[in-house]
Amino acid sequence: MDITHNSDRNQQVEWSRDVLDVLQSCGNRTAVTEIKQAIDGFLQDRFILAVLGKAKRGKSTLLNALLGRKDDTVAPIDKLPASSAISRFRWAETERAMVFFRDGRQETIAFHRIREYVTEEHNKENFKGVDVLEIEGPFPGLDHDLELVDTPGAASLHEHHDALLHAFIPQADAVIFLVTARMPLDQDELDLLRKVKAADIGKVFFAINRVDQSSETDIEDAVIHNTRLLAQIGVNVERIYRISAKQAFQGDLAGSGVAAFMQEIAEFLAAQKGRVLSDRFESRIRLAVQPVCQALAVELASSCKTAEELDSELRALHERKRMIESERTLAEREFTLAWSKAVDVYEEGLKEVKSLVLAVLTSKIEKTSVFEVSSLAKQLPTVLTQTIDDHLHPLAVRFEESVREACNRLHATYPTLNVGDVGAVAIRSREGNAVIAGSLGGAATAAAGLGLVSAGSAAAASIAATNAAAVAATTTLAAPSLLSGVLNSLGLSFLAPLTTGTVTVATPATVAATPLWVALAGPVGWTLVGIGVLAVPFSWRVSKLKLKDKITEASQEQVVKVFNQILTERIPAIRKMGKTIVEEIRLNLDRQLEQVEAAMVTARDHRPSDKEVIRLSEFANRLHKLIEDGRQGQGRISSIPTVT
Amino acid sequence: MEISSPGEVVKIVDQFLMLVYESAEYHSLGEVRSVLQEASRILIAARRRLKIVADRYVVGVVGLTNVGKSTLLNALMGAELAPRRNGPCTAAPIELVYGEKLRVTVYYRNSLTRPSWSCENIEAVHQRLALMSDEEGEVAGREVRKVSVEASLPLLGNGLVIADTPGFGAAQAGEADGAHEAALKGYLKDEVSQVFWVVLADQGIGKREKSFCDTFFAEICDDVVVTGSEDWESRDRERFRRRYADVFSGRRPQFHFVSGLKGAEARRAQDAESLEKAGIPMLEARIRELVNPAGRLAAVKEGIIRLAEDLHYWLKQFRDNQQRPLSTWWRPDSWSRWRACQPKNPLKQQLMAHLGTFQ
Ligand SMILES: Nc1nc2c(ncn2[C@@H]2O[C@H](COP(=O)(O)OP(=O)(O)OP(=O)(O)O)[C@@H](O)[C@H]2O)c(=O)[nH]1
Ligand SMILES: Nc1nc2c(ncn2[C@@H]2O[C@H](COP(=O)(O)OP(=O)(O)OP(=O)(O)O)[C@@H](O)[C@H]2O)c(=O)[nH]1
Ligand SMILES: [Mg+2]
Ligand SMILES: [Mg+2]
Repeated sequence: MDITHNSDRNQQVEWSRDVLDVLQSCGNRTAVTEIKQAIDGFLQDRFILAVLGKAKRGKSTLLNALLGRKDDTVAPIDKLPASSAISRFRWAETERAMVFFRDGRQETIAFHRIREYVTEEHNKENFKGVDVLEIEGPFPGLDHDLELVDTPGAASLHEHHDALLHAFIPQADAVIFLVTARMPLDQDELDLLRKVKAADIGKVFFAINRVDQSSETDIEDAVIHNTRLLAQIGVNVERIYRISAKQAFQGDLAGSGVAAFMQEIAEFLAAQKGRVLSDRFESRIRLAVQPVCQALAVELASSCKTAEELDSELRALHERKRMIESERTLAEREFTLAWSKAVDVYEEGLKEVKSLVLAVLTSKIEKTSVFEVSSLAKQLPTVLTQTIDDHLHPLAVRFEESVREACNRLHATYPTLNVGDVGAVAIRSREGNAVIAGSLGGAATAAAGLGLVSAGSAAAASIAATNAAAVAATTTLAAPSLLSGVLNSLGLSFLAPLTTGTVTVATPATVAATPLWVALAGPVGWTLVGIGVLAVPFSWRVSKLKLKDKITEASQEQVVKVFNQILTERIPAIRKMGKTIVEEIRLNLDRQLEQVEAAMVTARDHRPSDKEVIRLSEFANRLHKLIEDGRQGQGRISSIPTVT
Repeated sequence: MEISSPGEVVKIVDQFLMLVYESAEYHSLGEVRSVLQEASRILIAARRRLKIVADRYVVGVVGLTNVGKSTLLNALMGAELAPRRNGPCTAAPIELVYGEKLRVTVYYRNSLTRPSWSCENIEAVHQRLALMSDEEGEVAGREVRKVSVEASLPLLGNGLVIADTPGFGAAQAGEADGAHEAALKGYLKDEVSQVFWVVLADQGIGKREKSFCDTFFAEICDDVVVTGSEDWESRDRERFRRRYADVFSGRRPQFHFVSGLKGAEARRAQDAESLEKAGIPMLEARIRELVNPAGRLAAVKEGIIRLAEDLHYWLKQFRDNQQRPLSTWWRPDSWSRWRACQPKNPLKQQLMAHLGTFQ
């Protein structure tokens, strides 16, 4: 380590201490702790390389191999999700394992007891409250100023593993990301990689492990898939390594690909360690300071305004509210019209389809020869199902489309309300964005902003849900009467999903036997089974000629019933749904507006004192200046190559 | 148990559902309400299974992308039907249906046309399906609703349909996350009666698949197929069972350890012993149980009797802890309706034996 490097480091530390001073004086605890940790880490000049991946990718196995261990005492390996804690490994002359507990306790333990603290098997749900383990020893494979970290697998059923993992990620300087050849990158792994990216970790050693278990073509498939996805999420990995951690752990370092892998890690560290560490340090400080700066900016912005200014913003809001009123009514009316038109068309279509189905069925039965008639009787349920399905399907699709379009249009033309980064409130309307309030008081904005975000997405979600419900309703043939709403909400619409092509024809099952049941539960008990029971006995009892008449009669009755159900119960329900959607969207916007107004009133009535404002702006200026200085500093640091 | 016709069982389940559902609405105690709601969900699932007793019974093979669903199906069927690949592959549900002649039919979501091809041999079917798999990308999964393959395979028949499904949790380049999932969700909701959940031995069960299971098929799934378990000793299998015994929150799943890959190899080599070792015949036997309509009916009946027992037990515990009078458990009018229906039916009587004590 040369002098330039050291003096740069000292400068950086000094700078970060200045930042810390300012933060301490404005009393922001989270940022202070984070920066203190960063300084401690930076002073130790140890590079933290963490092994990350989903459960069972072979992280602990690889770690044992990298440490040059012959057994899995220090990093237990298992077929089931195992590692349940963060374990940090360093080189030292003597063996020592320290357990740090959540409650601040620490305990030194012998190596053979590590398993009791770091595995799901022996520390279920982390009931022992372990925070982290620091394990030192004369590990033959470990560089002296490198710290290797084993982590719990991501996305397993054990929630606390993820919590630990996510909290740890920002502390890593670089990561080894393990996937397997058997499972190409999936959504969980992409999420994890995004976390790595969000923590501003620039170096990822991406390795496909367990290659000994897969064929060459399968590995090729995986490489292609992984390369594409990595590019898509913008994670730059330079190379995809192929390794077998298990072979390496069993002693075959060269054959397993791990030797070459280690070589590259070592080369990277030799060339880049100083730069990466100082970049990482700077970036950690920045990330910690950023939210503080933002909060200060908002608070200052609103305190710069006089009560009169805020008052006039409030008036602008009222004005705006009145203006969007006519706009929203227009959108609502357009929607209502489109909706009821769609229902009308559907209703008309139903009547046509009904006659058509009746005609088709009658002629089909008519054309059936006397010899085939009993087999037709047996197939009647299927025939009915299919005929109704075939004829209703296009109509239902058309209805769905027009209803969906109406919903989309309503969504697109309805005024919306947004709260921007610095507390600017804007209403989007047909004429574009109109900012109605420059910014609000910090806390008030935060409160209003949160409420708005959730209210906004709730509105969107409810539209989606209502839309889906509308669609489900249109496609439900066995229109339940009394319980219709209930059954739909229970997901019983599967009774007759039309669009899927398997319509269950609604048939009262032995109506006479249980009148009470039918009266109360309506068509819940109507199923294909019913008609099956109804149709089959005919073939035994009635002569073939008469059978034909019976079938015709039964199927006509059936068809009429089905369509009547739709017309008398489904259609009115669908009509009503249109109204509900409008009411819902109206209510949501009203709620949002109300929240904003309340926040503005608060900002106007509770204003910080002048002294307070001066203090705040001092902090803000000092922080800003420091962060700016740091940026220049960083430019200097990275322009000087570190010599080792 | 005496025989009740499917129709009668349907009615009893419906009435039981009404009783439980209405009572759930009527209760003022949140805990009781939520237990009764849970019971409603179980009954709805039972209902869903019964619906198809007389018709088709679709067994869906469902799981994370790339766990080996298609491979497993090929092993079960003894034919290389479904394309497989290391990476997201199956793009739309593929139904295997009994038919004398080999035939592939495609159903679209937004179109009436159902193109259909008859095929000379299995290889031709495979080619057809491969054209539609994700790799080719010609037919996006979102447009094809399902593909049905008719074949005269021994396992099919009696209305049993086995469906290979697109995996969930896939990450796909150039596509919004979960493009496959959309195709899958609709299919699960509308067509599938029973789910075989395929998980990967070497990866265990993850958060994402568990939550997918909870949302889309927990009620209609009793079987977890652990594939890729070729090198899992019986001791480790036992540990796996214990670790995941709770995936269905209370209800015990059946775990089947198999190796789709080894099974498919054994089929090709016609090696009965390896096939046995790969766990395929056992799984086949379990599926055959479902093929038999009487078996399905019996399973549903058992399920609701167990539910009545569980309800009884829970309510009794709750009552003992809270010291509440008994008569308030059921909504009175629901109860009298329930009592009036089919009093002589043996299944009804069995249920009454558990539920009746509360009045
Ligand atoms: N065949 C083969 N098996 C491997 C390889 N690497 C790891 N394994 C096996 O994979 C299983 C899981 O290994 P672990 O090292 O415990 O995996 P992990 O990623 O640490 O798992 P968690 O800590 O639970 O997240 C063990 O059975 C290992 O023997 C490999 O390269 N080849
Ligand atoms: N070792 C091993 N590999 C398997 C097993 N089953 C499947 N595979 C491999 O897993 C990969 C994916 O198999 P598929 O059957 O296509 O998986 P899938 O679940 O159908 O995938 P999607 O259709 O994309 O959801 C292939 O490379 C198979 O060779 C198994 O039992 N053991
Ligand atoms: Mg581990
Ligand atoms: Mg597949």
